[in-house]
Amino acid sequence: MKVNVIVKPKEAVLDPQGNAVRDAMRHLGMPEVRSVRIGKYMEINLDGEDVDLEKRLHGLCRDLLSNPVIEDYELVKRDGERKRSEVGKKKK
Amino acid sequence: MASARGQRLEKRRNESAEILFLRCLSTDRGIDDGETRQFLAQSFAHVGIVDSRSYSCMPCRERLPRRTANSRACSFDMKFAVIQFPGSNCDQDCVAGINGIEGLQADYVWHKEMSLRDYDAIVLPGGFAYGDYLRCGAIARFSPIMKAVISDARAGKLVLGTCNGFQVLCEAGLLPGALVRNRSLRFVCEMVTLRVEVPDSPFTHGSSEGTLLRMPIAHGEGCYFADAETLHELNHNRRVIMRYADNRGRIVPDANPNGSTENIAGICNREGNVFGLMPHPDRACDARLGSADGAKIFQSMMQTIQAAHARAA
Repeated sequence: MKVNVIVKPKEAVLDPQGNAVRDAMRHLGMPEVRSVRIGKYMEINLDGEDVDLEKRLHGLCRDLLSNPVIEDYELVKRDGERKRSEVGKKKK
Repeated sequence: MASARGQRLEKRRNESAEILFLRCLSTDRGIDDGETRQFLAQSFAHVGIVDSRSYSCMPCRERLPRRTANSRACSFDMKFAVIQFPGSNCDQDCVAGINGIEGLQADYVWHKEMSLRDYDAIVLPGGFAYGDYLRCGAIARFSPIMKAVISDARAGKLVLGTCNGFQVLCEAGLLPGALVRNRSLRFVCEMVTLRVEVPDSPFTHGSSEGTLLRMPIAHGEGCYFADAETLHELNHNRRVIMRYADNRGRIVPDANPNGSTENIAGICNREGNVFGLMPHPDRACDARLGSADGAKIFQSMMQTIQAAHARAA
């Protein structure tokens, strides 16, 4: 199984990095830019493809790959098809 | 005239002792002959830097072993564990700061250890554990020793996390909230003023509400974030121990070095025995380094433990 994990800051969390990039984009002639949020993108290759594996992967997404206090994550199948996208809303 | 000359001589004697001391530190051998030891001990006795305990752990080679119990320690010394993660870089500051306090003794504890049974308190030092990869503290929280830290913390042992240690405690779920990138996007490295908000916590004995402490900060991700509900809970239960203040003790945006919510610099858990703060008490244990206020935190921990022992006895 090949998956991509996208981790991004929650809406309520200030993203100064995103704001700096937004300002730079506006400065470089794109005043239309309303907001930029910067997160992390991970490509993960795994052996196997069963439901249990995916469940464990979601567990690690919450425990390690993202911090549910400040971040949401999405798990996406690498071939482009979105496999159950989940937003980590549960608190630690 | 004579006294001025005496002072000059005294100054020169101290300078030469300091140079000698640095030379001893820079060699692998450390201080290995009795005469030098005695000379240094006498020269530094007035500042308390080289006492019978701290100079014995100064030589580089003796400092490196991960969990050497200090043979000179008295049996009644309270023992603090300073956890070393790969990438910790304030572990030596913590050990030196703690050892500089009479009655306290600190040991390094490597993160692969499984037990902290022999220790009265635990300190998670600053640095960049696991290179701060993924998020600060995200990988360190899974180190083997963290199981012991978490179970001991739940059992009521005092746990102090400074800087990176604070980040690890938040990631481990021992403290609420998280530390995110500084609002300025810059690494900040400066002396800050902290206002003590809770003078009766185990970490702030001897100070009154509004006491100002001076300590350095050095971090890129020290902006404290927590949701509204958590913040309310923290404020309501007096769990915000320290806030960044200006030199008159006012909590103003200008005094906030990293954009932390409500100028929060340090918080404790619900039970009050786990305390995390971004500033470095370990780097403020000697007036010659600009401030000795950090030592008050370690002293306060010592008093708390003493009081607990007295109650138990």
